Amino acid sequence: MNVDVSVIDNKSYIEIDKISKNGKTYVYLINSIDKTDFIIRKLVALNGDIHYKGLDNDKEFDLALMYFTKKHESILSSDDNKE
Amino acid sequence: MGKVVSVSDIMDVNDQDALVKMVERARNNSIGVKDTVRNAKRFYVDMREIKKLLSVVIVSCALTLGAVGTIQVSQVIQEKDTIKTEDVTQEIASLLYANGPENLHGAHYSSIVSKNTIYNNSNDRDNFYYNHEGIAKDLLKLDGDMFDYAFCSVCTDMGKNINNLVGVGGRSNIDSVIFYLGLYSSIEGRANDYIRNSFSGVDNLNDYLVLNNYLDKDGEPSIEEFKKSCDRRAFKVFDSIQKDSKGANIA
Repeated sequence: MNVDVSVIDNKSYIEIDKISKNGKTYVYLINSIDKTDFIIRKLVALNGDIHYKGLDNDKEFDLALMYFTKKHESILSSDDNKE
Repeated sequence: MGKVVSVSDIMDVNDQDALVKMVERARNNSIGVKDTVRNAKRFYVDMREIKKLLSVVIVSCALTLGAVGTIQVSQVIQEKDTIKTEDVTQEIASLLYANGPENLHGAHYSSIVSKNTIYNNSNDRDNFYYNHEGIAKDLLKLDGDMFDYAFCSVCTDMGKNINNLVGVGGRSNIDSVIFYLGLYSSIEGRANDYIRNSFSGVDNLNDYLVLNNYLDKDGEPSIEEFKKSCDRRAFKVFDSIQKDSKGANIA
């Protein structure tokens, strides 16, 4: 599949998902080399460019995590995955 | 082609402390950091790798939010490593429409049928028709097993509309696609021998199923048998896609 890859702080990150909620778009990224390096950013338009903006606080981070987990909860709750 | 990583390359998925630490590290690296311009470029990556990454992150997030319960984490990962029909269909679409337009939500076409579905009114998702000629032309870009798989996916994706008599010359949707496949196959350079032979003398789906021996136990032409044959070839098709892809190794 085709994915978008961006360089942030000289590291290459794969965009594994995007979720838009309440006028904000959260993008979930994983370092293409260090797979344990996972980050979340907001996408904002500024001066004709799209920017990655950091999250404001812990509350927003937890909210973004919740959106992500909620979107994919079928993976976690599927009976097929239980013993 | 993306490098294929195993789950163990990422972390021990049964190590819940490590998974929680991954999210805490994400928290530290996501809050209050400086803005950067999004300079994204498109690369082809093995879907299995992305699904493994997604699974690890999902499980890590769920652990942090206290939502995992009794789920066996390793089973979650293993489940996502299987290949499903829709996965292969999306891989083929991704290969065909790498530079294709995005819809309003940024999603790329998920299948040949979705690319060639034309809506009469953007507010009415039930009012549409298929571009049969476009479907045929896109199919002709594929080879052998990948062509078979994509053609089968077209039949599947049309669903209940497959036999609607709305096509060229009063043909059904799928027979109209076959009409154009035959038309363009006969033009030198537009199709390889495999496709030319598959549709030699064929002008409808039943003939195609019979010619290729997709028959049920009563000897009747069967789309189900066609699907079963394609599903058995899923891994082979998946590997063909990766060999044909021009993406860079990003790992």
